[in-house]
Amino acid sequence: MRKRPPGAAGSLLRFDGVSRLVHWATAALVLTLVATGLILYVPALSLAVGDRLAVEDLHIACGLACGLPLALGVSGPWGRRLRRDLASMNRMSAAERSWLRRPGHGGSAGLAKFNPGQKLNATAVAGLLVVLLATGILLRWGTGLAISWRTGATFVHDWFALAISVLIVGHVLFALVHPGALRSMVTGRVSRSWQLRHAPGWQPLPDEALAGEPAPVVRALGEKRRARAR
Amino acid sequence: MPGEPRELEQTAAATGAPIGRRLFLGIVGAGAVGVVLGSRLQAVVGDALSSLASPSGSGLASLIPGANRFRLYTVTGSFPEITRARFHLEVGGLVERPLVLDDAQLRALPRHEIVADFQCVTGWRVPKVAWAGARLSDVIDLAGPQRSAHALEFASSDGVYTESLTIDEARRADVLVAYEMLGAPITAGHGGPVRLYVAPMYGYKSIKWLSSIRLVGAAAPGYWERQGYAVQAWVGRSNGRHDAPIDA
Repeated sequence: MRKRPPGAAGSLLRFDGVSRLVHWATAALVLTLVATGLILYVPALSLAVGDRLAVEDLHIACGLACGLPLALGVSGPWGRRLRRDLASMNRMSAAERSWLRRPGHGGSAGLAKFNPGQKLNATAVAGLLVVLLATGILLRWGTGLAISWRTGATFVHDWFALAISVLIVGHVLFALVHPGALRSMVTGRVSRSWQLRHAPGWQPLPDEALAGEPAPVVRALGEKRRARAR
Repeated sequence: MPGEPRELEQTAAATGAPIGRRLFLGIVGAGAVGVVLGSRLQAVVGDALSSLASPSGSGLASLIPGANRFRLYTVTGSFPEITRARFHLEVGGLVERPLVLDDAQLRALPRHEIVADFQCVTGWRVPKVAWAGARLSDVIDLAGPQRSAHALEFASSDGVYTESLTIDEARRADVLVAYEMLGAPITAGHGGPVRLYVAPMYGYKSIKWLSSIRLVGAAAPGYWERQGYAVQAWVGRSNGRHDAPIDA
């Protein structure tokens, strides 16, 4: 038996400020991409909105920028927790793989901070975004390419956009069905009971345990403020 | 024990199967293969969906990627809205009688109908599209081309798009100054009220929002032709493509 890390009785930090900022910035960019992409793709919307070049420019700007929040988020000392979460997306234990075969049936025993479905969703979205970015660049700047490649890039861009839209809708629906998980992407925290139900195998690290008390940084700030008040 | 959980996490991270990496690389690989083979896949998907998708591009099935439906292109960002009342077509250059045709004068010319596939150079092909309009040949005969006129330059109301044909191409029976498409007046998105329809050539020859025709000795290359597209845009025999020719 392992000893619980200190403070496991309170709430836990699931996403720190950097992770949340990266998530919501990326979400805003991707949703703008979906909306502008639909306008460019659906003839009725193209005609209703009109100014196609401006919509194109917005779509391309958001596309080029959509990897920036994550790149900035992981690239400094502030990205320690985010880097750790990302690293955990890759590998899956035998227990996780068997959960994937019958999701939701085997219970959550052994599941860590992210369940295997979330891991698959994250890697699939990342792969789709990379392909969408690459084909988008081909379509925008690859005018010298063979026409058959442009046709191929169009075909891939359209199908992958449909695929990522399905994943996004699924992601939002899961978030609405699991308000505890959604709240953790807003406030950063989950309750200890949420963790026991959904992620019992998550061994909170010392920097993830909030113990129902203000985190050390917040406490330090509070003390400073009190000192100034005196 | 602050060090303990970290160690455990590291061992867990090192042991499981690298499924995430496989999925990521698989998706990126599929994307790369799709770019190279996509024009063939496009043809397969297009055929498979041809019974579902409506050619005008309305209806949900036609939104499935790869479905053979019209895609609305514009090079200026807008779709010029020109009413039939305000429409006019200039015919000038090397002609005996420069003239400006309005909607009624254009429709007074003999009406011709063509039903043929519409093939875009980017791969999509809409089967059996019905067109109606005057023959381009009849339009230029109204103005009377001079002997020195060997080609035609076309301009669009969008102010940017241009196209061209040789006079022999323009005289073909399957080249129309079209005012109907799919049994209805041509909509703004499809280049209405009047566009060119060059049946045997790729769609970029069929200039939308046609506003002027100039007869010239030798034509300047059109909008896409300045960017590398073939000037003689025969379907299946140009632009490095091997689509089935259009028989109209």
